[in-house]
Amino acid sequence: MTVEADCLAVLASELGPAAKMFLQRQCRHHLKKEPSTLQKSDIDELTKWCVAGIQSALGAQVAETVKKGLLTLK
Amino acid sequence: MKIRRKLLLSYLLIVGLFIAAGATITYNTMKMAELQNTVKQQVEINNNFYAYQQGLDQKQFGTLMYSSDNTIEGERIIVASADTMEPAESYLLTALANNPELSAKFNEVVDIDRNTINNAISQVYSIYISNDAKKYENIWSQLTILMNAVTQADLKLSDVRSATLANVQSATAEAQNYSNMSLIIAIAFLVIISGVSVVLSIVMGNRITNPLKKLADIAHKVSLGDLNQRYYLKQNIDIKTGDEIDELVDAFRRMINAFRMTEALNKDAETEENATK
Repeated sequence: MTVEADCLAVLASELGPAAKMFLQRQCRHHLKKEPSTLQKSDIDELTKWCVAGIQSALGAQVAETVKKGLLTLK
Repeated sequence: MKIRRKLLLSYLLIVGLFIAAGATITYNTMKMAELQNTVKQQVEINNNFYAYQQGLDQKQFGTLMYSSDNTIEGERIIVASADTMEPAESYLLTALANNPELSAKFNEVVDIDRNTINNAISQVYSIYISNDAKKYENIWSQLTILMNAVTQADLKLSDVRSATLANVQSATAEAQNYSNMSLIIAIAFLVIISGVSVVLSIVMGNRITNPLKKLADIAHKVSLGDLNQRYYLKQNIDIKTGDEIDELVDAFRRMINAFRMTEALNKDAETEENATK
């Protein structure tokens, strides 16, 4: 599986169908790259921006769950 | 535990209760059948004792007739008595093999018949055809012996018949107890099974429908645009049932998250669009 697919799997467990759109947005806006080009080295940065985005929309608890899931992909 | 397994376990519990009730009642029915056989056997024994007793009386009557100069009819009755007594004796000796007490009493009767009664009859025959001057006096003496022996045998047979009747009564009473017990067990199990079924259906029904009702209520509010229902979902139906309802709640929570996230992303997009304008 690619890093994109792994990240999507983690995000989809909490965000469902919005996961793909959310991942695209965070990658393009904050990492300045496409999700398909994600590397394991981007995980830390991606996690930081995903937690920030999720915390504001869905709360700290969901953000924490996603953070744990993304960090296991390193 | 999955809902289907929970329902299956409840069903098995009720089936188990039915099996327990059925097994108990079947056991009682078997016991009653056993007792019915005992009653049948004891009645048969009693009838044969009665037949033997009648045979002895016939023998006595035949001898009296014979000595009253009705020799042909007297002999016929004596021979007929043997036809009554022999099958009865044969049956009783076999049937009483496992009952030493009754067997001993019956053997005493048989001994009286073979030794005293038959001997007296033989004596009556011999004296009757003799030309003895004290013929009728001697016949009367033998008849007295015969009648005493028959009375003695009758008394013993009455005793054993009373014993068999007592056995019949005791077996009947026991069968009645089993019958009553079966009835009580059937009623008790009916009440227990009904109670357990009602309780299980209420408990299982509530466990399934209560979270679903709450979920339906929240779904209704979400469908009207209230995406804050995610918090209610957490508070109201965060029940760890361990079954498909948990999975449904998770899926529903994920769906609300998706709505909220989509809404947030759209807002961001709108803001960015406005900024570029």
